[in-house]
Amino acid sequence: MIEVAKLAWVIPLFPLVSFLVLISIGQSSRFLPALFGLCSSAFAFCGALIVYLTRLVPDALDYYFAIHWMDTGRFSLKLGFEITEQNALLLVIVAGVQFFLQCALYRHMRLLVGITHHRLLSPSFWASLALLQFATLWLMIADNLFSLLLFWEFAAISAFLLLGGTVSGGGRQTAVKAFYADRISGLSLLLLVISLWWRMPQHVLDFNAIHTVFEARTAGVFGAISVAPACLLLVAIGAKLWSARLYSIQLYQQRRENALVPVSRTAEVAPISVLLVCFSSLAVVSLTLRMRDVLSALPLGILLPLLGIALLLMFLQPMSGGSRLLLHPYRSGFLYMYYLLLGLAASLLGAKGYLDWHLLVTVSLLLLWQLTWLRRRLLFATSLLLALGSSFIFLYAGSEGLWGEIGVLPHWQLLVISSFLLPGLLTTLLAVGKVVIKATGVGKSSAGTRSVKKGSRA
Amino acid sequence: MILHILYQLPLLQLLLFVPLGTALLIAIIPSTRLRIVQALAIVSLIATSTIVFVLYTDLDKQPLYPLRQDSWLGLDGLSLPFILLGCVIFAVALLSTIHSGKRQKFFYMWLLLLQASTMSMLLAQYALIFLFAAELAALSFYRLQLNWSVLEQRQNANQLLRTGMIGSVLLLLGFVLTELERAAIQLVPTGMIWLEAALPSIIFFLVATGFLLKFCFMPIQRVVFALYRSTALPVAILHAGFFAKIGLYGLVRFGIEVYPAHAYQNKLWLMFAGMVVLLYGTLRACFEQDIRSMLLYGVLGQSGLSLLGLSAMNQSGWQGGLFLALAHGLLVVFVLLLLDALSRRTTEDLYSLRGLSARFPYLTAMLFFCGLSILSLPGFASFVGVLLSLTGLYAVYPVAVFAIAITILVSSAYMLRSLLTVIYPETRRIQSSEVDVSFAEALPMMLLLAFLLLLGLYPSILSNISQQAIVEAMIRLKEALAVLSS
Repeated sequence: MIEVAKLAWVIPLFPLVSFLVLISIGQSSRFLPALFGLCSSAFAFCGALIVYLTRLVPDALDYYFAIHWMDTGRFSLKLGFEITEQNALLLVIVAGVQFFLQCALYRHMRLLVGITHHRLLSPSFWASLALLQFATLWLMIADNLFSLLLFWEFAAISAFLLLGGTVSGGGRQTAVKAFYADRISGLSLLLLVISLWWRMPQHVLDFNAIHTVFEARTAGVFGAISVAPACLLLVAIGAKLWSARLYSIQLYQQRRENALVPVSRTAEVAPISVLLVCFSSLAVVSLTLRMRDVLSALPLGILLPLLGIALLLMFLQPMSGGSRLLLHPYRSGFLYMYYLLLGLAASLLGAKGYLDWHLLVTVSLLLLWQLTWLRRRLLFATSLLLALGSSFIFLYAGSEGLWGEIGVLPHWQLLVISSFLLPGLLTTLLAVGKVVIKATGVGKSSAGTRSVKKGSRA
Repeated sequence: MILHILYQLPLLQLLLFVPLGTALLIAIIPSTRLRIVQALAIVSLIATSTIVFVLYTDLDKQPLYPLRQDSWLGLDGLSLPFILLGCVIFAVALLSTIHSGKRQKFFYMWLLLLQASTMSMLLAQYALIFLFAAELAALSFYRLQLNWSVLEQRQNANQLLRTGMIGSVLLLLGFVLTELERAAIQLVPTGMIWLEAALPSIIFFLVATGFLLKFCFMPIQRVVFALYRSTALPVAILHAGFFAKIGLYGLVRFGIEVYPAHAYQNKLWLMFAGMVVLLYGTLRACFEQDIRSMLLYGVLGQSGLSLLGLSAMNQSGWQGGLFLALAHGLLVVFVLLLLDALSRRTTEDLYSLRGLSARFPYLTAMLFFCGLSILSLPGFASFVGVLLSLTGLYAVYPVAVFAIAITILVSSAYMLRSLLTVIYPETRRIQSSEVDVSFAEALPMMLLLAFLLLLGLYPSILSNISQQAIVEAMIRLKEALAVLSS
């Protein structure tokens, strides 16, 4: 089984190869770039699935591999990957999201009959998408903080390229703002790398070593811990979440602009925004899960109010548009991030429970696909998948899931968490209900799909 | 087998005398036979590149310090990376001379003379020889700027020469005072001067200020950038990418290494100089309205970071500072090639360049890569240098690192603004008679971009060379400090 994990580095290489091929071929064929991108992401998804399935055996071993990227005497930096339980799960989620979104984009592209000039038909679009996939896939399995920083920045550049090239003005402005936020998070991560490099014994930056050292320091073995790395980490996480929030706003604005701009011209923007929301949030998840020990240097009295503010921001955003817009499927970007933050809160409160987080991530991801893209015929399959996935993960998490963690918390914390959880759950249920009503044909058919077809005919 | 025979040759002397001999050979060829002149220049370049390659492979086998040394010339891990940089930049300069028109024979002659003098600056083992070669190089630059300029810029060339002279006088004063203090005529050799504890601190100030003035760190940037616009492209490339970067090498070799204890005591002053260059470049770039000044000031601001890395006086800081100097040498040449191609086709005003991507997609893509490289994003050579410099600096002044991070953030603001102006709105490709770039223009750009990416993705090929030299320099620094404290 470990042989499969040894080959996990191949998975991000599929999109990388696709990127290299796509930037080297010109405007050759209409469907070739999209088909190439789709194939590479399908391969990556299959690979991630195989890696994840082989990890399901009872006593699966973790696998670490790294090469010396730069070795100048004292200053040595490594670049590598690790396959652990949570990495494998995050990998399969990322690969799955990108595969399904590629499918949706390919479907959009097939609808562009008779249009000669469109972004979905240009190889540069698919090339930057492939670069984003490569960066995010490797970010999920990065073995140390430095390699995470590298792919964090790659992902920011490719997100900027993807969204910055949209025809309508909104996408471009969002791309700029989000890139500023990403620069802030990237620079604070760089400073975090530098400050940890001087703090860690033997200057290692592996997540395992960081975990060991900070756990020992929290227990008071090495003496007091400094707050500076925790603050830098907090800034990095906050800035990245802010850029994810900007993408969500973009998703919503795009919906409103559709009256003015023909949908066929910007057909790629909404899927790309969904993808960027997912990927930025998952990057935050990946970072926070591995660096939880560093964050724990901050007292809960500071962390919890910050989380509360973030949650309020996420929740007020979908509420601000009035009751009609509240249930709109495109608001699901905010809901998704809301769930993530809730998972973050639960995870930071609980000492070692991150399985609850898996649950939240997976469920909300499935929800997201369901709400935005896979309507009608695919709805049934997705709902089934949702039910299966959640029940599977409940079984998997066993008694140490969300409820087990919350059960041991003090009463006031339980009260805070449930007070945040309830409105989110309510909104989700309403949104799901609306989609179900639509799908069963009681309401009208989706306006978005229809206008895409109309635009393609024009 | 062939390599073994090559190792026996006097390679360092050949590195000097091949360009010199070719220059003499060109002098006796009649100026009507241009083809032969060009062929000779290219053959000379190939010969010197081969020599440098042989030296590089030699280093891989025995990473000892110094690599090669005889009485006058020497080569070690500090100078070899700069010699490699010089090879690349001379190749680029020669590739871009194909356009320039009049009196090509003399142009090639001066160019080869320049190559010989800059190489001897890097190989010099004595400070006074270094100074002499630098004067020779400055003179050939002056000559090239006067006779082959696109616009008449005599005043600016004069001012550049004058400032260089002031720098030289300061350097000469510093070296002569060192000689007098030591009471032994040794032309200020490399390596440590053991009695330097007795030297007054003012000598180090003279030398360091002389280097900053002589190699255009400050304060005549406006004049220098105006000269880059008016002179022939190869001259501008050589001055910005190679000559100005040798300044940093000289500062390390004949400034800090010769007076280690003084440099260590005055590192705050060095840091201050670096900070001034960084802030000045970044702020000027923020408020510039034409793309030429914006990019050049942006690169200048980032090269302040290499001074900051040196001021940390530890291994990673030095490694970062030197790496950054090399990366910026490549980057500034890339910028100048790009600006030349742009100004030939269209304007340099930032807001008139709106929607450039529709007309010149290749140039826009190159501009984008250039912007990312100035922002020192991962994947480009400057990222490695910035990372190492900041790591070194963090050990000494953690607060300065935070201030620098904010400055880098500011630089990303102006860079994004201009990039987006140029790239978007992305409209349909306009089919016109304008050529995007010719092959002769694209080739050097691709070469430089490949080097920038190679160094950014796999920095060990360069950092391995200088590692040993820097370790030894650090050991000597510690010894000097120990002598000083006892």
